[in-house]
Amino acid sequence: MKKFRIYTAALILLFVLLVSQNCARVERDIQKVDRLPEIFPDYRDLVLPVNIAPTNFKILEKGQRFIVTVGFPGQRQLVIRSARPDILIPSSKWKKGLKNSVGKAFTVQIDVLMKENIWQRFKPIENRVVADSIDGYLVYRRIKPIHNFWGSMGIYERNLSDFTERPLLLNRTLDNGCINCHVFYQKKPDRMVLHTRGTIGVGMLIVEGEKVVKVDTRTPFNKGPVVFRSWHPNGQILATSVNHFIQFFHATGESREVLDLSSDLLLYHFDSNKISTVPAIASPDRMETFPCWSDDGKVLYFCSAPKLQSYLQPEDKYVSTIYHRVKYDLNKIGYDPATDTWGQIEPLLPASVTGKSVLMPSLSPDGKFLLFCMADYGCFPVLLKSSDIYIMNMKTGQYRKPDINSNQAESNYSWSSNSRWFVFGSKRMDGLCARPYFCYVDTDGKVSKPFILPQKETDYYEKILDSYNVPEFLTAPVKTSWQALTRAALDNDRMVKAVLDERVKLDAVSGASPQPTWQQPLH
Amino acid sequence: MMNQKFGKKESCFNFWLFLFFSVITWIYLWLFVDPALLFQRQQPAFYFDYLFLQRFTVYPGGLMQYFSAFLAQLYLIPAVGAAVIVLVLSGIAYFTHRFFRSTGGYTGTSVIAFLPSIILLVMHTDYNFSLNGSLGLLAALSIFTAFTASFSSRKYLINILFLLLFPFLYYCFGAPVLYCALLAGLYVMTTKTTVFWRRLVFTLACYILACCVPFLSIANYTIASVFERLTSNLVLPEHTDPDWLPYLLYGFYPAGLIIMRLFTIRTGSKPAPGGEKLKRAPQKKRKGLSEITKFSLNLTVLFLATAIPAFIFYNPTAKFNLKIEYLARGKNWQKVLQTVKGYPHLNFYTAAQVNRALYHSGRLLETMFYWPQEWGSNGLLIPQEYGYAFPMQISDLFFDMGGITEAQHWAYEAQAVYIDSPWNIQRLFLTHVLKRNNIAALRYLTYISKSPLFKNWAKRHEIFLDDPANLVKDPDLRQKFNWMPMRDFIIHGAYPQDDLESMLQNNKFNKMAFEYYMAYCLLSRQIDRIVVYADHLLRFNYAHIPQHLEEAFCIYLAQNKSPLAIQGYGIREETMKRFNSFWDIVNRYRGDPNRMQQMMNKDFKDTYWYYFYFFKERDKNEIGLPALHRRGVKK
Repeated sequence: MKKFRIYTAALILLFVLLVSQNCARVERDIQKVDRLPEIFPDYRDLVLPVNIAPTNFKILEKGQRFIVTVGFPGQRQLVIRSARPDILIPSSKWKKGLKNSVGKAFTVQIDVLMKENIWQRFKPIENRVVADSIDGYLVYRRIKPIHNFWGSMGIYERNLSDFTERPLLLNRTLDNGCINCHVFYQKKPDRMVLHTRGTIGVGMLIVEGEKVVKVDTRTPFNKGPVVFRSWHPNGQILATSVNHFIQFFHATGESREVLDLSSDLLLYHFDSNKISTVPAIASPDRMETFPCWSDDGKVLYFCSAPKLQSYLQPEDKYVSTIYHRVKYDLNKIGYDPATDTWGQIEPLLPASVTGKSVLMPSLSPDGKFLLFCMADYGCFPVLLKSSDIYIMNMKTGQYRKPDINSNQAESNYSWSSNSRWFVFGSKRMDGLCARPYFCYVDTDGKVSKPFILPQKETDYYEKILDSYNVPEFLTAPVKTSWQALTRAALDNDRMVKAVLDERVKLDAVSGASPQPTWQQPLH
Repeated sequence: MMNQKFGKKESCFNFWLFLFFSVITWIYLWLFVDPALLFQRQQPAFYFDYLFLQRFTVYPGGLMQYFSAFLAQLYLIPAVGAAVIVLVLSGIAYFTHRFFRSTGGYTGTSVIAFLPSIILLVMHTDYNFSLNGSLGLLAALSIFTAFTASFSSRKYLINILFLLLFPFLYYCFGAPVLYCALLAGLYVMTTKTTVFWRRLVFTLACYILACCVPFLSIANYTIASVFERLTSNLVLPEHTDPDWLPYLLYGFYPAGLIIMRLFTIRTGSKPAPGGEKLKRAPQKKRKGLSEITKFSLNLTVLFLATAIPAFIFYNPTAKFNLKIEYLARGKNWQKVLQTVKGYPHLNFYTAAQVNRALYHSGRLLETMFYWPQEWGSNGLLIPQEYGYAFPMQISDLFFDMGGITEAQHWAYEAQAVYIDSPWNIQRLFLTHVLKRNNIAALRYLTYISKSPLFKNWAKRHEIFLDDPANLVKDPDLRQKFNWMPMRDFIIHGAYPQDDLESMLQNNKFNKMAFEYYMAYCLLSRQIDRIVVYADHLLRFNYAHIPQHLEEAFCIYLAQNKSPLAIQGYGIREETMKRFNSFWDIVNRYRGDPNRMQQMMNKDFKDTYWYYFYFFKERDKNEIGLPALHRRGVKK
């Protein structure tokens, strides 16, 4: 027994000596590198919400072993040792750490063991945590880079606090029809609007809790279904656009090009199932699109451009050859929901001033900031490399281009319910697929560096070939089952036909009037 | 002792029958059906990747489809692909044999046990038929065998385990498990080895589970339509030609079971559940036929039962069209031309491959009218309104021609039809490399490197990302790179002549665009356009004016009566002489069309003159498309 104790003590002593020797060696051989380490995805110098999932990453520095030390304030350091460059942060410690770091910064120290048995220590990464939390869920459509034909697609809900993703609706149950343009009323999951197209028929799914109704929004005025949409704060009106898009293809560069032959704005009234419009937002001389309600519902922001025919020149052989001349203005118009009356159109940001096409206005829920895109031309920023995000202070009317853009397309944004975060789609990673990035906006409108939606696997974005389309924040998970959505989408017999308001006496630009066929030569 | 002896002989007999069946089906599939063409048609995708696997986990039967995709990729190696199908079919034959042993007390091997496999063999002659259906039946029969074996040997705990595992089995294999439950219930109810109430409980349990599981528990964790839940991995009538084959296949087992039961009741013999534990009643020796004769007779019947339907349902036309596609894919241009020799009528998409082969053999403008051109310009360029059926073929043509962005566009369209097909991924990689979009190219290279059969290809092509200069070292890619349009223009798919002209105008060294444009003008009888581009001949260093262009110039001269000056070239004298002879015949036999036709067929059928004046190409509306079971939804 005594011998056993002696041996045990000797072993412990040996172990302690070895460990201390090793530590001493590490300390002695550390080489400091005066730059931040390269990691993928780029989670450096960020502002993070307190409720985001662990930002797992891969170290791009070459090495044989890696030690990552995450230093949360007032908490024991979290040390991750790995022979592989993939760094997976334990979720529970991460959550606790973020809570302790609110209003402060935490550090991520990366040490890399080189081939020469020398440890390199990089400048620590500092990320700040703010108390403004991000909405708990993100809903997006995942789709391959499609052109004319599509295969599988689905609308998914992602929990932003962890890595759980669940499909809300997949088109595999809808005869591979197209599902798109989901929008929630005030970021709450109970009320949602969604569109279907393809073999299952054109329609708008209106979700009210578990009840789902399919509405055919086509009327004698608008021969086509509604496209872009904005929910009025009173919850009873949906401002939508009806567009006559065509797609054609380039011989070089980005293949796809989209041109809107004509468009108008409409209002869909939920209570009466009516479609209404007025000449101010459905002018035969202009193409109106991208509606966006103000926070009080008294102003409608939208984009518009002169009708397509006005861009045609005698030498034009096809309509498609004029795509690069079309530029949209940003306008606003007053609206009184109580009396259903409209004010006068006021130009907010004309293309003649910016020299660019102004698209996709999106007002923060507190009404203080307006996000919009500007591209060299056109109406489809998702496909335009020149598309960048701008932010306008609604108090001063001044706008600027925040330092969040890349040389690839940026578009499709959504504000969080507290107006402090927004998510946007960017193709910066490979120019191929849009991925969701988050930005923090402080009270002065300063926008922080964007960071990509964290994933459990560090090489997730290198492997996935899906675009994250129309990301929308949500404060709670959707309760409507996919079965209810599928039943309604497939049941065309129960589809409700929207009624055109009898007061609408307009000539329909967006469908009823003869349109130029884009492929037919003009002359 | 006697039984044992008989058992050995029977086993030996069975073994040879199975071997014989396996060998003849393997030879048939390998040499006649050709699994490489199955791959060409179906383009199954399989990647060792968690994200790829994940998409198979959201619906019942998905995991079996994942396994099926793994096996189906082996079609690319024809002998192995044939062996895969043979293994599945032999497995089905084996379990069918077990099925009869356990249900009717029949222990010998009858050709009838091969019937389902023969039906499936017939289905596999259809190039759209997926391996899922065969694997589904194999899964159903193997589970059934395990269930009945344990039931007959009164291992009820195993049966209860089966019932408990039912949701899991359903999730893995899909609807075949429901079919298995149907058979199991029928089996249990009609057996007499246990008390009635036990049989009733098991039968009810089987049927209740089969009815409920697709709609409860698992269904909430999976996303599949009701139809899919009830039919996934089953062979459906719309997947087969003729459409009654699935009824025969799935009706075979319940009908067989009932007949066997009736037979045993009528003859009073004891049912023989479990097969192995059967106590056979001594059989009376039949006189007249020796064992060898019986065996030979069985072999002959099996051979005829397999060969006759296999050759009746064998579709040589489908094979021919796919063979051309396959050869064109491999750039075996001479073989393409050899294969179509003697075929007076071609589909428009086959004609397009023949013209492509002619171009790559340097004979498009020299001998194209020697080959069937009955589809006119639609047999040169596949009309884009049929793009959903032939996206990759359109991509191939643009890729050959240096229209890399358009080739990429059609490869993306093909992605919707042949989801993640390795060939599409290869094309997307190459087009991104040629467009110097290396990050996007890397995405596709990473993706295809997860394919067991294409990872070596991925490794070989890494060099294009490491150093773009390597692109120039590859003669094929260098040519495409050099032919890429220098300026942008809009592709008007509905007006291909404009697209070809734009390709040529935006890269004057694009010889393929020139030849295709000329061929298009010839086929659409636009000689004026040919004349406008006649000066390009010098740029491409033609030794003389290509034969058919010369013939077109003759017509131009005859029609316009004005001189035609082509820089560096003149129309050969013999061509002019032939043209005069052509008109002599026309004038001489103007009143006798039959005789004129005879003379034309003899001397001028391969000339452009004949096509221009007498040939009436088939209308676009006559275009018939092959059945597509793949997705491809038009926007």
